[in-house]
Amino acid sequence: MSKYSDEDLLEYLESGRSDKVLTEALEKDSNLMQRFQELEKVSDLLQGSSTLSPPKSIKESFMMELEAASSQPKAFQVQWPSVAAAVLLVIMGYGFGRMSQQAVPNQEAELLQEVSMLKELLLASQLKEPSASTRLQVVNSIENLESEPSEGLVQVLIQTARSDKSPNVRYEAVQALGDFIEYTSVRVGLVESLEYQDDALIQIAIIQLLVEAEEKSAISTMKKLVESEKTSPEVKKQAEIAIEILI
Amino acid sequence: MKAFSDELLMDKVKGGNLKYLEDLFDRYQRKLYNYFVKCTQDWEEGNDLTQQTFVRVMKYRTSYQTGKSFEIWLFQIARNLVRDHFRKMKVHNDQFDFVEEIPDRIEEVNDDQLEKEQVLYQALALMDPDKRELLVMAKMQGMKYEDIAQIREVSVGATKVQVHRAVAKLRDIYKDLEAKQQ
Repeated sequence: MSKYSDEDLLEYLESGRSDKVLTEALEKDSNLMQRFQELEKVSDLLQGSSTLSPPKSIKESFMMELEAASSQPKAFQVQWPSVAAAVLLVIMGYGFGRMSQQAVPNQEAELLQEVSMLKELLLASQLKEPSASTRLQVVNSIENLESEPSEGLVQVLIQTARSDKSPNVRYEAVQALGDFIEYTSVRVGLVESLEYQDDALIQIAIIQLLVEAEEKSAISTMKKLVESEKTSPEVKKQAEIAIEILI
Repeated sequence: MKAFSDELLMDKVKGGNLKYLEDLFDRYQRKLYNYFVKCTQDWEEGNDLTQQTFVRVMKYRTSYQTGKSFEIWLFQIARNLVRDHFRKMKVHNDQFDFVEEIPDRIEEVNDDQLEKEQVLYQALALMDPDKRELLVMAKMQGMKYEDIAQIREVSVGATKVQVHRAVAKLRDIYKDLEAKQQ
């Protein structure tokens, strides 16, 4: 009986056959070699067994669960921005209806502009709400505005992306700003904001937006991130890739 | 650009951004599905358990510890589901009804390989579920001993010994089955 156990043989197999003494023993002892080959065979079979493809129905079912869970809290929350906007529109609609009796076309246009301004003012003021979930909803409302937001509202969004207390709100604001990346002020705002962010996900999201926008002025800020000890390794890696692309 | 790490995404899920779960699901559904199917030897159960794992990730997201490996946490959840499955089913080795039809494979497989795999699955079905799980993790999924040790909450040394013993046991069963078929 050989002094080598199955465990010794498997250890030898896994270590890349580095044990010279055992190699010699295997060459000399045919029984030991047979045991080794049997173990090698099942190991190879296990390692080479095919990967099974999951059916599509798994994801479909999970997505339904996910959608149900995502919509649950909203069902019980009052959508303050929507409510406020609706109330405002009713008041304005009433006023507009009364005035339209005498209004001329250019006055209608002015009124609509005023409604839009008031709506924006309301949204901007709601970004100061203490509740992060409300602020998150406001950011989403801005993102989904039918008309293009004014420069003032974009500035409010930039400010939110830079300094909101909640990283979730800051992240959503960054994502919303991605829709207006063609504005120079947005790109400049994002570069400035990058210096102040401490959340890795937000830093990476900004880096990606600035790379997509080919914003070369971001290079120096990204270099600072790479050099900073506080920056996470993942962000450093992303910034290094981004610098290479932008240079 | 490189994708976000699992841990960053999970941190966002923990913070309430459930939409990132879809990315994590896409990254891990194949690995989990293979783990479940090969551990339980039940293709249908593989579907349900894969989905259930992510439902649990969603439900218990706040218990995820920031900075910890997402994969290890995920497989701890998956492992509990497998244990629940066996507890519930009270499956004994002789109750395994080997299914001839194995689900679709990612790679093309020739007849010889297919035949060998059939015997392999039969041999695995005759093993103790705990040992089979070790083989699935260490050999079929190529997980590191360090990671398996963390998932199973035992030492790396003990994990290695258990895996080696399981391989030796499988060798014996496989040899017997092969002999019977010849």
